[in-house]
Amino acid sequence: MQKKFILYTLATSIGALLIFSYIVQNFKMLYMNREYPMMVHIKKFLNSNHNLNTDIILIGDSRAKAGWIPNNAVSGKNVSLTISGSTPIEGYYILKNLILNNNIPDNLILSYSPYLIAGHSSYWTSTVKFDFLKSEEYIEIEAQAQILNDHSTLGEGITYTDYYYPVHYRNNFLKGISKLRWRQNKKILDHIELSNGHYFYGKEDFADWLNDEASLRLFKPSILINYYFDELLKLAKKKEIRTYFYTMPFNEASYIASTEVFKVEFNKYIENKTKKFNVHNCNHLYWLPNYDFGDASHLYKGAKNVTKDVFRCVSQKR
Amino acid sequence: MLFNSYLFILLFLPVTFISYFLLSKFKNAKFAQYFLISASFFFYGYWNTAYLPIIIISIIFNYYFGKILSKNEMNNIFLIFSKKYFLLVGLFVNILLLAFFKYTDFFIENINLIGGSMNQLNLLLPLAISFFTFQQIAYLVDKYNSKIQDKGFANYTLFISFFPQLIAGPIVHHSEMMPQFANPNNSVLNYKNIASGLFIFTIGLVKKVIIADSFANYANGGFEAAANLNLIEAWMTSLSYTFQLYFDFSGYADMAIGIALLFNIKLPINFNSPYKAINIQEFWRRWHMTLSRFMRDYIYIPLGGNRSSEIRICINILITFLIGGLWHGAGWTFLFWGLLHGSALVVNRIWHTLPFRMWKWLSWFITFNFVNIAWIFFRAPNWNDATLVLSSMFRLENLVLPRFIFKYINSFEGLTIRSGGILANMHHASSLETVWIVVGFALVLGFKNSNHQMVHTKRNAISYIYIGLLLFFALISINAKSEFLYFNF
Repeated sequence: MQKKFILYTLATSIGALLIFSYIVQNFKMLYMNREYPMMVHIKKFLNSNHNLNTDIILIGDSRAKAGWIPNNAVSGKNVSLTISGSTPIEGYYILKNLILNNNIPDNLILSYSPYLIAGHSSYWTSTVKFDFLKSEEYIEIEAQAQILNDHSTLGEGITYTDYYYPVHYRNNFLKGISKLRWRQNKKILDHIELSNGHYFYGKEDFADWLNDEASLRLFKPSILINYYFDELLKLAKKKEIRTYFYTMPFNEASYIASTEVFKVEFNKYIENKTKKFNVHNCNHLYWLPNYDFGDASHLYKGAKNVTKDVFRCVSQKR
Repeated sequence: MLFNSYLFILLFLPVTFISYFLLSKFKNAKFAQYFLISASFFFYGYWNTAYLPIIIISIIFNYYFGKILSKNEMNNIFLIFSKKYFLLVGLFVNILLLAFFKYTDFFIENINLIGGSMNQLNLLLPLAISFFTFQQIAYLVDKYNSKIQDKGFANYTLFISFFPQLIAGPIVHHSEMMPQFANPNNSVLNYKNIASGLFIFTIGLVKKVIIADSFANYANGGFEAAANLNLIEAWMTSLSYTFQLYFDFSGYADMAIGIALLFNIKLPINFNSPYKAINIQEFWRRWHMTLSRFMRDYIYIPLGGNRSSEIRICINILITFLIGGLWHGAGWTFLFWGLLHGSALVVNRIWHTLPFRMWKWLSWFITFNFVNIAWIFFRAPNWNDATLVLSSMFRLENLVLPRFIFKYINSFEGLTIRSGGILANMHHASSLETVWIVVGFALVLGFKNSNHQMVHTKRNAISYIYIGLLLFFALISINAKSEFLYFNF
């Protein structure tokens, strides 16, 4: 009886651990949230579309993903390689890998919200958890944070290898499986491939609640993200890509709630950056009515007009 | 290497276990014992090899000093010195070693406070130094009292370095360990012990990685925001730490007992449902029992114990607990925590002389809350944070209630209660924390102790599934960044 107990207990637990670890690492489409298929789309695009000619590539965060509709263009192949919660850190590696595996795009639009440039990114919870980058890229990023003595952006004492532990996926797995997320994720992947990377997050008729920036008094860019922003712009300049920066609008409520200093500082920061790297700055931080938004941060009804505005900016400079 | 790491559970432990019994079977028990000593030193040195020479020198010193203290050797070699003199030298060297690494910076800090200008040494505290020093002090004292037979250097080394109990106890006594190491029957595979070991190891791992680590998030979040806590948050913070500490430390002790059982070694139990205690004296009979035993036998009794005047007994209790506080850490908050417990024991002693009796539930309530409040001083990084958390727990104007409750009671005159997010200031906290607190109470009050369960749970199909699933769930909850709290002491 004792022997049986030992054998069965160990076989059950170790066997289940191995199976669980294998599943959570290799079948993330089964249980991860909706951001995962969006990242899969980008990875596929970066790694398999050899020699594809693109007119406009957009790199940015979720606000850019919701705000710019690539298929609304009259002509040309336009793709949105935007990731929710991403910053120029991911942006730099997207451009680097894009150039490595594809033809250089004619135009590159960058769009990041102030909140993310200030360092509130989802680097660990999305980028690392979703295996978006390669090991050597994580090592490079962590080393760079050390060199810059930036201990706040990525946090202290965390490394990408920590995410080999199944504990980081346990709750995602339980939640994802109970919500049958694989069905939703497959639909999102199909949708995102057809829409060339566009996705609406919120679909409310009206959103007058506040976005994340409304809670910040001052705009202070993260040291590490600022470094990668420079690297991203340097790379674009080196490859002679026509580059634009477009700031997605706030909803009216958040714009009013944000401090004046915050808005001025952000505009100044983007102005300096674009001047330094010869990038065309399409606009300053602005607002649109609350009914253009599907939630506090993301455009919904207003996306069509913003898309037009982005195309206008690009065509003006051609 | 941590007990709650894959490296330990999936590699070090199985390899050591299999090698030990293979060596016992195909070589001999002595050879297997040498292997176990080497494995223990590897386990210890894995953290930092710089620590290794300290523990090795300490073991060699104490073993040979113990030999000198034994009567026959004394007669032959050191006739000119008294035995007591040697004991004092032995104790002095051990305490000096501990004091040097643990208390030098605390001493310098306080000298600087009163006008000194010394630089702190920032010494790295050798792991487990408090534990192995106490064990060896006990060994020397008992050698002096001729209570021990010498079982050889290998047995002594294993007694101190045996990896399941080396880092954070239980603080074992040579009389319960050396005979087990010397017993050749213990080098034979015993399935009953392995099954029991696996059972209690699993319970310990669950306590640590699922329960204690969950409370740790809330406790850490609360203490980080000590200055801004509202009344409910302050209580949540202190209760979270109270549960974290218990599940963390008793989880470690369960794992240590379980691992030792795999090698047929029975370690003493260290926790016996301490939060069920209905007075502070009972609490100390149930909490960190091997430390309490050490403090009683090697501090309290030598001070005079109960065989003195009532005032002297109270002073002995206070001194014992001040030393206990200081043993846990070099800081005024630890000293104060020791003073609080010592004072509570004195009050408890006086209470028992009075002709009153208290309801059991009230007695439990007072004891639990006293322990809970005293832990704040144990956990807080400094005096200021401790008083901030404590004052937030008792200031009614600090009460924030959810809106749905607030609308019913905001009309109470004289109360300045606010409404809003009741856990808004605590990092990582959510309404789930409230559930965890309830679960914490249910577990510490409603369940039998893990050691009791180990003995009385039947090994049948239900227990295969129960323990197998618990172990699986614990294994997938292991976090790379989770150390045991008592490693700091």
